[in-house]
Order: sequence, then structure tokens, then C-alpha cells
Amino acid sequence: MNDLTNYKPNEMEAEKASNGYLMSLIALMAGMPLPIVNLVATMIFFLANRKAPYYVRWHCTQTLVSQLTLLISNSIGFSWTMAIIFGNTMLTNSYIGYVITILIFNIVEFSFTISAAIRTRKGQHVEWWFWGTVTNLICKP
Amino acid sequence: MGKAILQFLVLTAIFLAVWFGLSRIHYVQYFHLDNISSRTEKKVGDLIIEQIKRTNREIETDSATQALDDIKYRLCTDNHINPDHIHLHLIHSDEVNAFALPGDHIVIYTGLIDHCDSASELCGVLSHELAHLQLHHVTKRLANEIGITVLAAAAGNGNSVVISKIIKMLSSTAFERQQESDADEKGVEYLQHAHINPKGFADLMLKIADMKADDPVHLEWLSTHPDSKKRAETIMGLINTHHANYSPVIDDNSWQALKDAAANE
Repeated sequence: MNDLTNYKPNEMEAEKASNGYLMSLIALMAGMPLPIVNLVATMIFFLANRKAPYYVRWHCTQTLVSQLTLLISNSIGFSWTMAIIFGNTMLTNSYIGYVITILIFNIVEFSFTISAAIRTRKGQHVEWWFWGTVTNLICKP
Repeated sequence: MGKAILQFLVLTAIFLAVWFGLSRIHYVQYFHLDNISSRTEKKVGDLIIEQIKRTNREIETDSATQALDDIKYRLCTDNHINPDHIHLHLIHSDEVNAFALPGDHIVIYTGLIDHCDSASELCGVLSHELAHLQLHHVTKRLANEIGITVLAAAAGNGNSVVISKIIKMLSSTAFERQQESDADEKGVEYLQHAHINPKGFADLMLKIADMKADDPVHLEWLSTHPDSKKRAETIMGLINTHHANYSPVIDDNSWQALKDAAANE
């Protein structure tokens, strides 16, 4: 919990916070299957709003943190896939299980992002489990 | 900070648990993802034959072709195998070797023909290699050792490095012990159904095993098929005497013509 729980953002703040989440979704559409594109887009938006009000900075940070963790898991999946296609790595049940797992996590993150984009646009504060905790450590008023 | 670390560990544990659970499902087996498509197999086989022909001459004289076709048709038709699907290639080489390739190709080196005293000896080798094809040992081995995606890519772009690797693997290293044993057993079965005396196969293995010490360089087939004496004994044990109405697979003239073609080219 932080000061934002009861904070009521103004129209501009709500829109910018929502855009931070939308930025990662748009980049996802354009960048698949490259995992880095989402992060770059989110990072650019984060840097562009470094001086923005706390509400905006906080949500930009939360979406950036979630993209960072996804980058790690997606990059492993991407490298593994390239090794199978172009290298001598075998297609295994473990690989397919990993791909399905990261797919599930990506879909969950995608759903949460859409939900957060909608709710922050309405002025509601959305704090995710784990990523919200990390954001509280990173982003201070 | 402690809360974040704890949540991170829980999240990691959930991720690993989901991955572990999903990895237990046998996707590769259920969806036959370890099978090479017949198109890829055919394409790879064709590329291999092309590469072999670039370095060694294929003998396609009428006498050689007719003799091999007669042997092939006898072995195949009596075992309900479509002979038009099996492609024999007599390749000029001093190596005493024969091997099966994807796309139902069997390569026979002229060195092997030189060392065979009778057509039944040659039939033994051919029945063994035919068994490897029918039991899908070649495709399984390629899928395991090369990888389906690499094979598919090689079939698409004709990667000569991969093709060379496959040639070396299939021509100079043996299949798994059990696969060799299964091919021996199936080969004897093919011979008996075709009324060809399997003793010729056993005799060839014993003969070449004895000669191995004198000419190790050229006896490639033997070096890739170890324990030849033991296998000869096993083959003799597999022979069912109830099938003993054997007949020559080709006549002496045809056999001599094949030997001459192999020796003269």
C-alpha cells in the first residue's frame, strides 16, 4: 500500500498512466516474437515521463518492471527456439512445456495490462502483486 | 524488500511448477513430432545420392541394373514391399560397404560385390539394409542425431555440410545394437520368405571378419557392424529349417555379369 491508494488523479494523469500500459500492448502487437520491443517502447515512455506526477511515474514504473521480468522468460524461450530451428538442439517435451508456460504468463500479463489500462484511465490505482511491491521500492513520491 | 523477495520466490516457484507440470505431457510422442515428414525424407535422400554421385560414379550398365533389380524384386515382392519404392545404387568404390539412406535408398559399393562369392551373400546384406528402412531405423536415427528442424532446413536449402555429415554418419557408424539385431532378424525373415538361403549372409560375415585383419581400411561395412562372428551365429540360429525350399535368386550368368560390371568399371 502507498499514498496512491486514496489518491484521485486528474484527467491528464489518468490518461498518461493508462497510456503507459497501452504502450506495452501496442509494442507487443508490433514486436512479436521479439521480446525486446515491448521493453524498449515501455522504457521510452518511462523516460519521457520521469518528471511527471507521482501517479504517472508509478504506473509507468510498474508496467516497466513487469516487462522486464517477461523479457527474461521470453528471451530464454526465443533463444531456445532459435537453437532448435538453426542449431542441433532437439525438440523436447520440456521445450514445449516451457513455451506453453511463458504463453500462459504472457496472456495473464496481457490481461492484467488491459485491465490496468482501463482502470487507471478511470482514475483508479492498480497495484499488482509482486510488481507493485517492487515498484514501491523503486518509485518514490 | 523482504516482501518483494518472498513474492519473487513464490512467483518463480509457480512458474517452475507450471513448467514442470506441462513438461510431463508427451507432446512429441502424441503429435509424432519426432517423425520426419516423408517429403523431407525423400528430399534429403535425393540430396545425399546426388552428393555421393558427385564423388563416386554410379554403375548403371544393363547387366548390373538388371541383376540388382531381379534381386530387389524377389526380396520385396515376397515380403509384400513395393519394389518401386526401394532404390538400389551400385556405386564404384573399393570399400566393402552398403548402407541405407532416407527416401528408401540403398547404396552398395562395388567393393562389397567383389567380396561376395554368391548372390545369396549379397542378398543377406541387402535384406539387412532393407530391414533398416522398413523398421524406420534410418529416419529415427536422423531425427535423434541430426534433428528434424535441421533436416527440414537441409532439405530446403541443400546444406552440403549437413548432407556430408549424414553420409558420414550413415555410411561409417552402426545403428544402435538393438536396431542392428532387429535388422538381422528381419533380414533373415525377408530372405526366408523370398526362399533365399540366409546361410549366405552368415557366411559373408564370417568370411569378411576373417579377412579384416588383412585389409582393415576397405572393410568399412564390417567395422560398422561389430561382433560379426557372433552375429553370424545368431543368424544361423534364426534360420527356420521349415523354410528350406531355397532357390537361387539370380542365375549364375546374371551374377557373373554383375560381378564383372562391378570389377570392370
